[in-house]
Amino acid sequence: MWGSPHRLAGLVPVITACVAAMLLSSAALAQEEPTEPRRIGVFGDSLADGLWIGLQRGLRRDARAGEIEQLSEVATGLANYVYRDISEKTRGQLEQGRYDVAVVMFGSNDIQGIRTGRGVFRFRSAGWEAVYRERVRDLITQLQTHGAEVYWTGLPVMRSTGYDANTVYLNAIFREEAEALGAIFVSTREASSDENGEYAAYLPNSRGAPRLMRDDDGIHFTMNGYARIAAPVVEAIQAGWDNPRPRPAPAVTETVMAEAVVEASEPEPQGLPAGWLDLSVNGQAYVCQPVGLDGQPLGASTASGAAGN
Amino acid sequence: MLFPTLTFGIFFVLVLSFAWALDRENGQRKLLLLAASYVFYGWWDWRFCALLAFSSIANWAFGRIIGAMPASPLRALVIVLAIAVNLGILGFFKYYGFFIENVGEALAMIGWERDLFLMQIILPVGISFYTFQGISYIIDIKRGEADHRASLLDAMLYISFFPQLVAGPIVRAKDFLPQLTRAPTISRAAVSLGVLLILWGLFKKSVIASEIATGIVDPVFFAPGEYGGIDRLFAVYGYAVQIYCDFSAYSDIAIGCAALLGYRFNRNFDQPYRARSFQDFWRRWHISLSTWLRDYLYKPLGGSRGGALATNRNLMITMLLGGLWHGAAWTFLVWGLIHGLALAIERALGPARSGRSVISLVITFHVVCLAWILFRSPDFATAWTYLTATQTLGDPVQVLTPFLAGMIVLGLGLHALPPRGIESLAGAMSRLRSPAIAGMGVVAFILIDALRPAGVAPFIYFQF
Amino acid sequence: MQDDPHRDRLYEAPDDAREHQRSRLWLSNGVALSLLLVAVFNPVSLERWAAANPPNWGVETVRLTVGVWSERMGLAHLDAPRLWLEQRWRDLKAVGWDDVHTEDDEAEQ
Repeated sequence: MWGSPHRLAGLVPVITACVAAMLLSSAALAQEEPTEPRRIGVFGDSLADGLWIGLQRGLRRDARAGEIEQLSEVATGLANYVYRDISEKTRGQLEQGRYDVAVVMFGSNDIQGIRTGRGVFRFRSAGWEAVYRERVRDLITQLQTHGAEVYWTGLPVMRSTGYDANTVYLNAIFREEAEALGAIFVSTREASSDENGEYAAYLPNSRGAPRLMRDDDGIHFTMNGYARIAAPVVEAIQAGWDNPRPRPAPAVTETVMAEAVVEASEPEPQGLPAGWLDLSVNGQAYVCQPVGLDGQPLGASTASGAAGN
Repeated sequence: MLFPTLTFGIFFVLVLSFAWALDRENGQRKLLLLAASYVFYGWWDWRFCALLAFSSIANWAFGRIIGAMPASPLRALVIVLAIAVNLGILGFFKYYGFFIENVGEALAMIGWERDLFLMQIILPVGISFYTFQGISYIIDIKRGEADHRASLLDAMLYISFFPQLVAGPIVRAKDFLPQLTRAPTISRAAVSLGVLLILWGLFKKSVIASEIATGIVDPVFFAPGEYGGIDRLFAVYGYAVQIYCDFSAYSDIAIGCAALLGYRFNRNFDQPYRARSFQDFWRRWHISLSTWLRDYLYKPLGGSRGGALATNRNLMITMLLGGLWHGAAWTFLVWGLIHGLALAIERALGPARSGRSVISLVITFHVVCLAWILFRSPDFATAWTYLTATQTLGDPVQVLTPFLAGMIVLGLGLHALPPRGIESLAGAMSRLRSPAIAGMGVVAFILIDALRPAGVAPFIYFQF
Repeated sequence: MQDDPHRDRLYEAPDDAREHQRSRLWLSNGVALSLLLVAVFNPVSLERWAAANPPNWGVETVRLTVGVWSERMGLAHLDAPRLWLEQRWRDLKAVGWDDVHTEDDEAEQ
């Protein structure tokens, strides 16, 4: 099956090159050891503006963290797409930049009806929830397709009990949809409440001294407060970098190394055991085609014939 | 409601229409304006209205009592009590958190850990302004400059009149109360002035100040160590322009709204960066505050009578408190300290030195900018980094664009315009017919609306 | 009123009732005409304000009505001045330092 020795000798450099290319490209795809720091984009509303500040402080000493961009905007949300269409805006932002991590925080401006073509879905009605969940899914999918690891940050505890009950409702939606799509949901309720789990304006800072964490409106935070709620997000991001999960390949690959021919996942070339170095690029199996010293493919040409290029 | 919003525009047009429909019945007109002022104030938080009402009624009651008493130690006691109530309200709402946190830290430093009663006290909007107006009411009555028999309606309207309620100017009782005694009349010149001031204020705030703030000042002051020398220099100049445009815009809109309703306020800013000395600066910057401090704090302390030491002491106390008035933070105190020292040094150098040369203008401007760094920085560490991060001095320009540089130059260039330019323009405009005025006004309005940043403004802390 | 450097002759109100009436009429006409002109040339600002607020019957009525109105005004190109201004402003903001330098270089040559 392996043929004559000189054929075997011809295989060695090829296989070495294939292995090298595979390892490098698999590295680029799984992003275990990138050559440049990871870019983080923060999407959301005014709370996300503050979260951006907290992330800057929290990730300052982490060499793996590159630029953290503020892509959020005050008074936006997923309920009011007439004022600002978040999915369109995000599409534009993703075209302009390249993000490895997407931190998302919406919801504080979503306690309102959703406008549709004919009327308005009242907040928390069945129609409202259906549209809202769809928008959440759409946003997460957009970010994941771009190639970013999505960390959806939940809303913190609020001073007003009615508002707080609504944020609990929204957080449940965010958690369900995020986890269903493989994104990570980070809760900030623990970081923004006291030991009884209730709202508190003064909370201990990193040295244990109580400091004012919340703003006068009972919704936003002071600088210290934003640093406090960014802490669980920072932890989640760093845990993600420490133990990267295998992710579905992004739609657009920029693997510099993988210049090899992408073959249809047809019968493997002769001589190679099945399942060896299983890897897919662009949703198709990346198959290492052994070539001889003359550069021509060895063995039967059924694989190349079936490539259909 | 914030001034540069459509909500306020609609509100004001409605109030204007009804107020001028009632111009023969002064009592009803004043009631309308009072109700409108409470609607305006309650738009932020209806609970604030109770405090405002309490403050107004208390000041009126004290004024009545003081006016009716002959000069005596008891009267002096009542006056002190009245001022203490005003300062107490201000001190509690604005400085309680600051006080408690610092006491806690001080106690922790000497090892006395205590569970201090920490409360989040919501700062009512405009409290610094209307408590100062209340004090002005009491003291003007005591000095006989204001009529203690003013009705409750007049007193309440004086303290809560919506144009100057949240951001000044601090209007004196002796200036405003006489205007309330009869129904105001209006002239075309006053209307033109009002309209011009409002449009000019909107332009300065929405176009100049917003762009500079979001474009260069906010990013650089957030992390100054990451920006080079040019960015940092222009961020300081930018902040000087931003705070001037922001503050003078609010004052202009307030004065303009009052003018359209028939009331006359004094101008609050007079091209401050043209000042060639610090004394001159404080005659041009936030005039209503500096004159208030001069008349109700500096002079009662002794003023400049009583030798150099006493004068300097009075000066420092006034400027320190003036700094603290701006916000409950140590940086504001040090800002006041810098200004106090500058004024004291100027006084020591003598009048001949504070000459009229361009050099003194440049020096004054730059010392003022140095103080602005402290005013704007969230803490001392940031201000220190701002001034001393030498390793990034040579970094290339990151945030400054030709557009922003142009805006900053424009903002400073406004100081080269004739000082009474708007008044002259108003005089010229008053001779035109109403279609021409309407056309010009609409052109200006469309210009402002097209040029200002879209969407809601970034979160502004109305900390006064 | 004492002589105050911060005040102005302009502020002096007329004692003549007729002058006052005429001024008041001048003000009313001016305001009415301004509102009309703004409605024709810049209705989009009202639409945007309604879009930014949470929806209810009143807000939606305003938004949809003003939306249709501003669309018709747009068809008649009455929003052209505003659009032109916005475009010029965006161009001005997008100018970079390199663009400024190339102009200088060309001028020197």
